[in-house]
Amino acid sequence: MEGPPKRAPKESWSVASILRPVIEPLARRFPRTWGSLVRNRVLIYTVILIGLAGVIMNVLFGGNLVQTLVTGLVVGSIYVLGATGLSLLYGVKKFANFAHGDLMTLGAYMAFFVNVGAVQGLTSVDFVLLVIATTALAGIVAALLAFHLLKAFRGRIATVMTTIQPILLIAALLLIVVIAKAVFGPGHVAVGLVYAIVILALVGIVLETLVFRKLEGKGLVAPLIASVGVAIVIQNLINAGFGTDIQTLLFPRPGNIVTPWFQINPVKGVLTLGASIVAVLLLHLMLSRTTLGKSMRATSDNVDLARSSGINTSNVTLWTWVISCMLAGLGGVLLAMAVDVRPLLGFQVLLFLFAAVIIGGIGSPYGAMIGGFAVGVIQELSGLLFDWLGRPDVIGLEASAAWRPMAAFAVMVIVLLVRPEGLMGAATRRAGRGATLRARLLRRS
Amino acid sequence: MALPYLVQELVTFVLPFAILAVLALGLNLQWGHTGQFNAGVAAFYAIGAYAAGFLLTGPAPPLVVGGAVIYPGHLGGFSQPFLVGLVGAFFFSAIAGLLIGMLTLRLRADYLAIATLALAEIFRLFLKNAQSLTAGTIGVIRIPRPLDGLITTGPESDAGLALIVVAVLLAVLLVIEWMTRSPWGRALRAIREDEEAAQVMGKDTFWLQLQAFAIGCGIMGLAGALLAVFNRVLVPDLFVPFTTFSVYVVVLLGGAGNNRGAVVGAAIFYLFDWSSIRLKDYMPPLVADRIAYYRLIVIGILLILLVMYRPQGVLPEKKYVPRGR
Repeated sequence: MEGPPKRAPKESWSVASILRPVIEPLARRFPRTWGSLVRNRVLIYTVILIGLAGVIMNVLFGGNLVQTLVTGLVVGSIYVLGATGLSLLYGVKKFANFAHGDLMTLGAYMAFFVNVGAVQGLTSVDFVLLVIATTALAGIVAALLAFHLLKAFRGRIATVMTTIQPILLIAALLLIVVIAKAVFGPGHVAVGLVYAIVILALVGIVLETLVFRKLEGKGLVAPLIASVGVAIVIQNLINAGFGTDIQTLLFPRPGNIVTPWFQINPVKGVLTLGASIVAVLLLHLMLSRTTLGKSMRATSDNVDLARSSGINTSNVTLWTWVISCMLAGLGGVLLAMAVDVRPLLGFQVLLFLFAAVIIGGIGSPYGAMIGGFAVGVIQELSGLLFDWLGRPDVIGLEASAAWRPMAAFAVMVIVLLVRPEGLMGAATRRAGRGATLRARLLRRS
Repeated sequence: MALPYLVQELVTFVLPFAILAVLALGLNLQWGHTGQFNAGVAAFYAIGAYAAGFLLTGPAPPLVVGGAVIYPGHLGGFSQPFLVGLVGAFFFSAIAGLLIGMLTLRLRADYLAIATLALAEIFRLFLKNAQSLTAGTIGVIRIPRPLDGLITTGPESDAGLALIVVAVLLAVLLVIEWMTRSPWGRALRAIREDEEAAQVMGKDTFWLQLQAFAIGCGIMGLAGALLAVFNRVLVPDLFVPFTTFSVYVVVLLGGAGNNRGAVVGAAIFYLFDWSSIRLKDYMPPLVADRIAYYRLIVIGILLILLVMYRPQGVLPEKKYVPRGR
């Protein structure tokens, strides 16, 4: 994922060289990750390009640019949560998880179960089914974990550490559920959120242990098809268990905060953005500071090398699933708060997540963070264009808002065709491995 | 003259099965023989269906009653015979496949899947939203069947159509079987196994792949045309991503790389569908309401198990050895 900090290239003149006085102090201050990030020329060009496009579109088509950007960042912050998880998993497992969107939906419904179920009371059939399902899930996970631990503790100290850390994490989350229940009362959406994250972590363990571990070494496509199967199963379990109606979560819905430049909702906007940024920061700290995070990055870079330096890669893979699914759970609940709860909630954003991952460079969680925000902003900016096209004096495009997803998909396809290694692939490219990396991405297997 | 009950039942099975089998044969050429992970099957199916729909129907102007748009109208008004619709569907889908293949076929399998899935979704959104061209969610209506001159309604019409659809299926199966046994088909399988080795042998691998992709897409278009006349109505939601995934289940179930396998896979898959619909009447209402979802859960689990334990399918690919050596 991230190599050692690289020196900026010597150039006579470029946009990057003008920006260098601003960038260099930042890069020196945070050399570990953000150093290579802010020195990334392609990234800077992209940000400038999006900015320019925004200004031009604002001049041409009207509309409030600041409002568009803020909305785009809020929408993007949810994509960031899904996309980082997807990218993390891609890095370690090397397959595109088509079930990630549905894992988000599952998170949303788990929160819905706690949130609305506790307040209104579910029908007895649904309730019994869910209790059985949850108990069975917990039982399976306990058995799998016991088996896994027996094997893991025979390993070296690093293995033990990587096993203990996520268990402590889940234990801490369970503790938070209990505390949140005591503080907010049983049906609060915060309790639902943490419950969703815990359940998703368990689901991640089950998926890796029962399905995807057995598909290792069978190429790119076998796990991809299996993930489609998982997506179909989750979608229809939700359909059968909760029905296909569109539901809403119960949480306070205050009015928008109005500033001279833009307005933003304190819950749907500020809280979503805040939660996403906190999660991304925690992920960054985990990846850069903990044994587990470093092992994950090592495994993602080169599995054989990681294994030969004593990392228990199957263990790392398991916990990558856990973290990826937990991020999906958080993203799913936030998405459900922003939109509503419905069976296709996550599947409908899956392609946006792929767009974010591909724009950022597949396998790079830092790229996915940037990509997520970029997709949100592109989507909102394209809204300006489509609204303009929708005016009767232009071409009178019908249902102009419905065309918005097309812009993000189109950008993704263009990025795939023009620059399949994504924005964050640039660092590796400059280091001279570019040709091989590009060849690797383009080669069919 | 009423048809016997058994024949009627058989017809309700054969029609959707044969359409699914043609679709699966198209995908089998791409995925089974050439190893292209095309996740945009639904789009090429839709292109064929809509092309046939536009070619076969009479004029469909917007219908406005008292200022309210009752029907937004769609392209068309060609009133062509069925054969023209069929050829047109093949042609437009193949052209679309050629263009999209030129752009995307250099990508690796998983990227190809994501790109084609995105393009298929873009196309579905287009069908849904370009209301003056496609009549949006109301859809293309009143598509005539080839035998409408003789019989217009009832099980007899279905039976007549079933004969035509089965004839198309057999023709496609024969042609594809012949093509994949030929040196051309061998070259495709060589590309699937090792593209660089095929290049070393002097094959223009990209052009061969493009041919396979375009012809596969054209066959999906044929299936679309059959769907159009079977359904008589086309709406964008017939072409959701799940359509694509179910065709993958069919091909994997039957055996990727085996043409007869694709047909057998379609039969098994649709038999499952069909029996779950029939079983619905004998279930308590609580189960009957949800039987569609249970069916899909089983299909999802089946897909996972197939990939894990029997990736070669029911009829594994046969090793073709050229004769006369």
